[in-house]
Amino acid sequence: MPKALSILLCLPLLFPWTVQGIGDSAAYFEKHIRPLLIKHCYQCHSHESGKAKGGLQLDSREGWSEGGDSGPAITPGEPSHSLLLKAVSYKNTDLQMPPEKRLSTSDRDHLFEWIAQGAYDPREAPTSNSKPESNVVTSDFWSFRPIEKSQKPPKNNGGDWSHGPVDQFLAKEHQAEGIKPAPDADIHTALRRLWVVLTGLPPSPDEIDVFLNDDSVNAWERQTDRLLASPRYGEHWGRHWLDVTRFAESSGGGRSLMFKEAWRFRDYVIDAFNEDIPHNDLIREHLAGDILFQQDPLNAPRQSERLVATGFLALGPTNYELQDKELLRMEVIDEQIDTMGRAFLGMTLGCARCHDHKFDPVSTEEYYALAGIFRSTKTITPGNVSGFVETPLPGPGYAAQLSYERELEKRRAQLAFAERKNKAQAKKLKKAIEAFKKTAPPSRPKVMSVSEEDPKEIADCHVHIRGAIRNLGKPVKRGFLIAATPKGQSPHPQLKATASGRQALSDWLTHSGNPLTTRVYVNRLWHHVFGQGLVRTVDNFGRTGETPSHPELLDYLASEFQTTGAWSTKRLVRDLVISKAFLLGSNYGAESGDPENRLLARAHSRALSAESLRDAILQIAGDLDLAVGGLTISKFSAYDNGYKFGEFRRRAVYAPAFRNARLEILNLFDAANPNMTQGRRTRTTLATQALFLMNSPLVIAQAEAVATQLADVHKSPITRLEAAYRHILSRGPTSQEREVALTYLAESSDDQAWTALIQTLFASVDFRNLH
Amino acid sequence: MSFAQPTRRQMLQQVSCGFGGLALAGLCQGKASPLSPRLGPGQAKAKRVIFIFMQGGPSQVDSFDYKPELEKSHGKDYDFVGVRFGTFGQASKRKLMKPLWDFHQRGQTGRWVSDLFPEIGKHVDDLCFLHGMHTEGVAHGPSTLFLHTGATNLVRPSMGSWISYGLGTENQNVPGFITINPADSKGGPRNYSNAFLPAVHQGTAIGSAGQSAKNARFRNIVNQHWEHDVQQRQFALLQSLNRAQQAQRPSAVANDPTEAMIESYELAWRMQMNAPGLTDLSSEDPNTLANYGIGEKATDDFGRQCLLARRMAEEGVRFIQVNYSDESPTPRWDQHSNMPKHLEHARATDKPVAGLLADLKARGLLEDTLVWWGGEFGRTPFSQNNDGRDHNPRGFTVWLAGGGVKAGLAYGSTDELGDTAVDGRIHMHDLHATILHQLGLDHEQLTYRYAGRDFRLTDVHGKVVHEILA
Repeated sequence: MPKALSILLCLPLLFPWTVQGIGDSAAYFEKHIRPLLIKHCYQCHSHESGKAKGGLQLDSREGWSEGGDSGPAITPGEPSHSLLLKAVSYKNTDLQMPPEKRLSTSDRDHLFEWIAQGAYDPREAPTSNSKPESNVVTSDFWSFRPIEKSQKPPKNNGGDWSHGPVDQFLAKEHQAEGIKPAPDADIHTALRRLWVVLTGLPPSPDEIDVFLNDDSVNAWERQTDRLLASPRYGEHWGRHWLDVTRFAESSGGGRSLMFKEAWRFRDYVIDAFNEDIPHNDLIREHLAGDILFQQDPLNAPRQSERLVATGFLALGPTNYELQDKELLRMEVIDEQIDTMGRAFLGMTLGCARCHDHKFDPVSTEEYYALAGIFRSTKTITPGNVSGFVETPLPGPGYAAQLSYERELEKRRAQLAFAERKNKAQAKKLKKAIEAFKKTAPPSRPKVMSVSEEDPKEIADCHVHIRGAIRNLGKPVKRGFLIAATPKGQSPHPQLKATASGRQALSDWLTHSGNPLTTRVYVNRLWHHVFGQGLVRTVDNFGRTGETPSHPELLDYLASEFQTTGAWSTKRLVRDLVISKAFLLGSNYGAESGDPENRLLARAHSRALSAESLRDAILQIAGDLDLAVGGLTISKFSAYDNGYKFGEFRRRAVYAPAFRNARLEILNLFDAANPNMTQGRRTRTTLATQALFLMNSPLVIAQAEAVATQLADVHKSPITRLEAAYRHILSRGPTSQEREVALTYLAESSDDQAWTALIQTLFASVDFRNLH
Repeated sequence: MSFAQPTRRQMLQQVSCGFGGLALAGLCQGKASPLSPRLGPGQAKAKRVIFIFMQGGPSQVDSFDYKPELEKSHGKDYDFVGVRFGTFGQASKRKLMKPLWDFHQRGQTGRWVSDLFPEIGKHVDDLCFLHGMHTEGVAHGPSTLFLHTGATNLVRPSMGSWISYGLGTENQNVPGFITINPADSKGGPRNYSNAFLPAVHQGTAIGSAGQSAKNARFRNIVNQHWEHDVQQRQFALLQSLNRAQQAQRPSAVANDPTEAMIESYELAWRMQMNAPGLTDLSSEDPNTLANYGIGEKATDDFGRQCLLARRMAEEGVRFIQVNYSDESPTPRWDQHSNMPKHLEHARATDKPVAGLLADLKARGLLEDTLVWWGGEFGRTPFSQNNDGRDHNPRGFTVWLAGGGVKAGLAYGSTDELGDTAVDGRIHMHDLHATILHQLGLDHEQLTYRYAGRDFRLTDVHGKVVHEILA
């Protein structure tokens, strides 16, 4: 065997015990070790280079004996326990040094010998050696302070802005800054805004007339209540929450596996918004629905819902084919922690996987305290391409299936026992099992969920030094973020031996003293109603996020939401849309001293969401199918690539939402990235969007349908134009628009001029924007 | 244009205007468009990248990494440490398999290239071989994502998006980052996605894997319904109505979204007038077509892709990716069995790639175009299923050409058997850092703040490999 081949072999390092002159340690060090360390290590691990990567310095005895983040680099006399030798052996992919080039066999042999002989080292550390301190911020930051529960709406001198707390808080700031609010929006604009904000769809001309003919004093409230009760509300607001939960129906990553039952999570969310499930219950279900369900599988309320809800933890983007399964496990946990943190706490916790958070009070220990909870939770199942946990859905026949499965398991255990002891009996048992299998009740659908790990796997997690999965530090007791733990509560719950800690985590999140959860949630609602949050960085309440424009108002809303609001989403949304502030016009006066409109002296203009844009075009053309819920993947296969969406005509929220394939219009018009929590969509204005509206056969076909329908009813160009505007823009044309359009029609010899005109209205800025 | 070293202050200015993205657009007057072309803080040797992606993992020991020892040890059993599920971290005996093709020294520099790539072999004096490559992931998905985004699992922007973000584009009428015939699987769109970077930096896919390159076109760029003059009148109507609507909403803010929307229609119209021509090869000289192998059965398709790449390079597209991909469960170069099939893939790509190199050189484009040829990983020197080879992320070869890298260099090496990179080791992060460096970008400075953290292509890793730079 060629000598150099030995470096390929995974044998223990063979040491040639033939080195001459070992007795002279100093000479050995100077001859073999010092030059080697200078040549290969000092560049990144010495005072001279100013670098101590991984916290390690190798230019003094103190440097290596104290070691870096991973502990001492060398244990004198014990080469096999010395990290340095592990690193140079290149056997652990997380620990390979030097990174560019493996040391020669003889260099490695010299290191082995040196350490084996006691690691003589005359080098002393420079006196100024000081390691950087951990920089965890102990926080007095606004979002971690307790919610101020005694906020009272500031009274003002009556008038339009005195009717509700929202308006009173806003008016106070207008007055303080000397800003005069914009005049109210005209009634057509306001009504279109209400419809799109609550349902994602504009009103039809008939609906506009119904509202305009309602003379009652509370016509606006009645309209609001009607829309809140419409199934369209849950579809639209459920979509907002699906953005936060990075919902998708496939895994993304390498082989993007389809999730056949994920639609149940989507429907669960839509239903929860339509039924107005209290938000604290929703959080508990998302994180611990399986546990709540298991506590009383046959009688508890919302059994299926609770199980399906844990899809929140399971539906993330996961590369199931990662071959390093320990890495995969930690990646899944990281994704769960990060999503949970952003969705409920407005915190980016992922940073603390490798180091203490640089800006927010989250230490690596706290990260791994949470990681212990999710590591004690089963999310994936083993395999070359791993799988995910699936649980039969409760419902009729569930009890029968449960007892069947228990019986089957019992018999299989008996069989396994017999196979070792008594072959004849085993044969008999096997036959009986086959017969028993025929009595299986009809199988229940299985949903993606999580479950508590096997008791032997439930444990606290070790810190992973610098995030490396095979470089373990001390174990950390499972628990929560200390800075967000209310006074008098412990960040480390008492846990039963079989409990992961998820239920305790959900209780901690929904505790009335948690400073983040309700602030984050009411701000999300505000964001969707007004177009911008009081905190505009809705997913980031940390130091790198923005601070609230109206802190007192935010605390008032958060506090009321927990108490009199009973965690009801509809109630708060209703309060917001019936405010005076919601009715403001969006035109800015040049005199405004608040160009970003933080004080809400006018309405924010915003782009129609991708879903609304598409659904509205289809609805106006009479082509929108308003069927509710259910599986919509027309052809299920293992992977999502190459999926054909065909002529999908239901609301966009129901379109198969694959991570690698979506409706084209969703990709083009800034639909939420399904790979991460995105409570605030980005707004882009791109030529590709323009090209879609100008050239897509879908848009032209819908325009043609609208043109045909209008031509049947309205013969005169003027009334037809009026109707087209009311259908598409919820208003009539201005005189200037009328003139431009009629001139175009008059000059157009093409018999499809009306189609071209309707298409143009779909592409116009007033259709794409909500004012 | 000055090539003097920028001062720290200038650099910071450039960072805040050039790299700050949309959020800062309002602060940087005159640099309002995130796509307007700009220089990175360093000295750029290359203006653009053409990445020829050999999907599936071509075998280094059968192509560019000559290992006489493997030849001699054919059929012998050796212990290799497993990197896959089931064998992770354990050593097991595997049977060595010699290269299936003969190697010859080629060019003035005498670089070894096997008979798989005789045409590329003629260009060795222009190539810079990196024999000590290693990467992350073992399965195609994770490694392919790592190659494109620097992450096996987490969702990160693609390299082309980072480059577009850093440098903008030289031609506002065509996208700055184009990928030709990419696969839907193995990471699919994530391989050219902007992730959290502003959407303007998203890669534009034309065509899709397994489809004829003749059909590779921009989406929605052609109107099938309206005659040109009808659409021209319709476009005038659209902008008149838009202006009328805008007039009803006087705007006090500088960054008026309505104005941006109206401008986006103007740009769309210009693109519609210009971009379709980019994918139209009818104006090309017959000799050029022949040099790319267009018209020959085996090479026609990939030849078209390579020629498209040259046309895009000429038009100022910043990052062009040519994909040798299909949509089958195992990608093209993925010969877990039947290694002789490598020849089919070599035949399909050898002449087109050589044609591209020659064409770029003849037009003076090779100087400032960095060409990168390679797969997501290499293959093992031992056999699998008798006549195949398994994935090998521990050691493999890619080559670069042009764009300020040393021509005729062979840098780094694997061990005697061609299995593990042991010398001149270049991690995929290092390759990313080096490519950015050639474009004048510093991989440690090219950051984007997302959700409270600064992200970069190379995460906290990566080192520019100065040894390979001319």
